[in-house]
Amino acid sequence: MLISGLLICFYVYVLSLSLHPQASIEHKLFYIDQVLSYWPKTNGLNYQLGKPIDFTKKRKVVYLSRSGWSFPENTGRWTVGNLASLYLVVKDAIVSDLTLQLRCIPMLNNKHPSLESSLSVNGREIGNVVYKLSDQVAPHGTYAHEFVIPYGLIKTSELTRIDLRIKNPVSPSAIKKSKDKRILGMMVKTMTLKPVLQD
Amino acid sequence: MKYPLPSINETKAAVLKTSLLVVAIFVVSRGVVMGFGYLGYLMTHSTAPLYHVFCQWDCGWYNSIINHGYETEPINHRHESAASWAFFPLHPLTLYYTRELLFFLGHNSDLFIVNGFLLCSLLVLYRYYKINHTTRDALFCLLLVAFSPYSVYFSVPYTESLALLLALLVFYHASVDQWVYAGLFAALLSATKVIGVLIVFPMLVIALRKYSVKSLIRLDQGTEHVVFSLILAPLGLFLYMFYLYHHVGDVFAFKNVQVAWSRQVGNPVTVLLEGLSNPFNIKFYFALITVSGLGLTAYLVKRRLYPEAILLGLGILMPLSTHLVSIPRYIFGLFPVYIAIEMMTRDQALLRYLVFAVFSASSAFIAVALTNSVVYVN
Repeated sequence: MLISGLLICFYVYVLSLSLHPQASIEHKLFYIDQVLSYWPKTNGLNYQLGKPIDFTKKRKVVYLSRSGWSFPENTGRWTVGNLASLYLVVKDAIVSDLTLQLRCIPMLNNKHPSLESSLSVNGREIGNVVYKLSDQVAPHGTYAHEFVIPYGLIKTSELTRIDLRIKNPVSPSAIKKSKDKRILGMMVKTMTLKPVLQD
Repeated sequence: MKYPLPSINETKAAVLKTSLLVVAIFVVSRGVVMGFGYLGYLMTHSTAPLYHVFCQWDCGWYNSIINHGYETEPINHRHESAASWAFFPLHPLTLYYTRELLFFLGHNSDLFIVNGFLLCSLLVLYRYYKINHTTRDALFCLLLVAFSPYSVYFSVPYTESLALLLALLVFYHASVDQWVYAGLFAALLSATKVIGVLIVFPMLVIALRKYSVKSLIRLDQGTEHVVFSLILAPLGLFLYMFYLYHHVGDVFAFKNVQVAWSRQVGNPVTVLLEGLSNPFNIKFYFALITVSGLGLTAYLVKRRLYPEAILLGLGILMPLSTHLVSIPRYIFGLFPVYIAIEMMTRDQALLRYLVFAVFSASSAFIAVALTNSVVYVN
């Protein structure tokens, strides 16, 4: 009976260890929570401030959430559905507010003339944008926006989650733009986090 | 404590005779299966050593564990996120120590030990089946195992032959009330493959046939060993989980890594229906085998062979909850399949010949397919 009791205690102890995994952030996100698209390798989510995250040329962007993103294309990557997220770990010391620069092409045409989106960092909304067909000025419809991230919202060496919420995504087939049936929001081309003071 | 040799009411001469017959079945079946595998190897015009031809797919993972231990993070695999944590430790440990012991055979010692497990499995199956059945039926059951369509997997460095042996030892010892041995072998089985831990359910059913729930809960005299064996059964799995926690930091790494093969736990019925929906896809064939396996499970239930039915049913449903790939190999690795077929064909000599012919032809075909790296037979 003593051995049986010890075995049961051991089983309970082992199961209790599952509540406190000691794996890397990347392991937790990819294997345990299963929220990442790609295995980024240990320390692979580390991000250097000022370095653009390039979504073009069919790159595998390791920061992307498992859901919310379509396949990589040469011109960027479409968000799919209402929520697309990124997970990263800023390793630099943060001494001021940060800005988040986003270059994207929203899914717009005459039948879908506006797209509402918002951006959150670690659960706190830092801005929202309504893209309008009438405002389209850049070539090929690329928009560029900057959002200010208040100091303290992102902490050095801690996991940061960036959420892109699209209020009214639409399939190109529904708005007679193409036969594509994916529910698309915006095609993201680059995203950059940098200190406000940095040029 | 002395290990009790399986005993049945036969004279020494009869035991010797049937044992020799079992050995003969083993030798002939391996001659056929491995012979066809060798023919397949010749067809490839490969210059690789024969061992490498028999060591396909998962065998590579076991070799990686034997040579380098478990990874701390995924490396060097075409599925970038795949890691060896999915592969349980007892089989590679066995191969490792066999290689140390039989160093003069090189990697071929793997083939030696897995075939040794198969021979032992046939001997134990005979003993187990002989408890309640005739010699003739027991031998036919053995023939089915030896010439099973996927029996080449009992002879290559996969977990199949070790798992078959351990499952049979658990059933045998539980049936003859040697519960501590049943628990020990169950613990080893739970360290062999992920479905190994499920053996605790058939063990429980065997126990409930002999003892009431009340007597097991009250730990009446004679039931202590039963309860102990049931508690002992998952030890192999928990030891592996404990190891993974200290090695990777994740107790469930063996399960969580399935994401690398795009395997998510879902509804087995959905997976099965999806497989059946397209007759021109290889999954249709996997789904048909699965349906047949479930049919055999139902037959075992009808014959009131509940422990065997539970082992087969859970052995099918657990992998089916994620995918259909490899399901035929899993099903034909479970001995209740052969018991069900033996019982279904009892007293029907012609049908038995037919089943045997189909089985042996399939086993030769799949052996050739394996050595030609036809991935559908994995």
